[in-house]
Amino acid sequence: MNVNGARGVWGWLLQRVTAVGLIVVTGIHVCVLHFAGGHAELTAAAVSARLDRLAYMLVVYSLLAFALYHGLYGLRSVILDYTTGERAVRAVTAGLWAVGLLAFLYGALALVPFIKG
Amino acid sequence: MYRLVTTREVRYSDLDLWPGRIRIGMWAWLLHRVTGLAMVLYLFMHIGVISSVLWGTRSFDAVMATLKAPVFAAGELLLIAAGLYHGLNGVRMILFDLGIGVRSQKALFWGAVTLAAVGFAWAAKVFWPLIFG
Repeated sequence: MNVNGARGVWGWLLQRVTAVGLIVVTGIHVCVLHFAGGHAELTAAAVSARLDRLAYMLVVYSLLAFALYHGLYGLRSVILDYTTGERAVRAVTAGLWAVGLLAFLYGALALVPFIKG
Repeated sequence: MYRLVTTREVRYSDLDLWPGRIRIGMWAWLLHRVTGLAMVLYLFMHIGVISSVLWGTRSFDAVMATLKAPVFAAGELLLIAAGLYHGLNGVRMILFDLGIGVRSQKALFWGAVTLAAVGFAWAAKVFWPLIFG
């Protein structure tokens, strides 16, 4: 069964691209927080100071987008292992896109007070 | 002759899931899946925790102070372990996609596990004071 056609190839490719992206941005994020001369301070003021740097802001927003796409595409693969029927597959895909987009908007919104602060 | 079967056609009682009989490739796949699902769960929890700032910076600081407890530091260390394995096994999978190392898949699995263990040992050293004071 192939319900995605050519789009399925793009989904898979983006899964690989975000995987590589995640290795880079997660690596930077974890190093900044724990492995760059001790554990970083985790107060709103300290997070704001870190997000003052445009490069770090890009890392955090990329991390949010890459992790949501990669994670939910992975979850889709797990669910599809136990799903049959074209309609069910389409419903799972649509549902996960909705969850991903809402979570991205909510996560992006949650970073705004740090950037303003 | 072999025949393609769908998931529904496989009777789970037919599968031999005794750990000693599962091959390395299956372990690699299973660990990748379990660590991936754990990290998806963590991702949504992380977004929830960070979003506490929407109720004010004091609210965020209070949540972060709670998360300084050793049990959460230990959880973060486990998350790093999951991320290291998932990332390194992911590189192994991308290499296979590129047609590299398929015949050496077992050695690459053990290579990924070894590198993840080394990274975990380093992370454990860094997190030790947060967990055990």
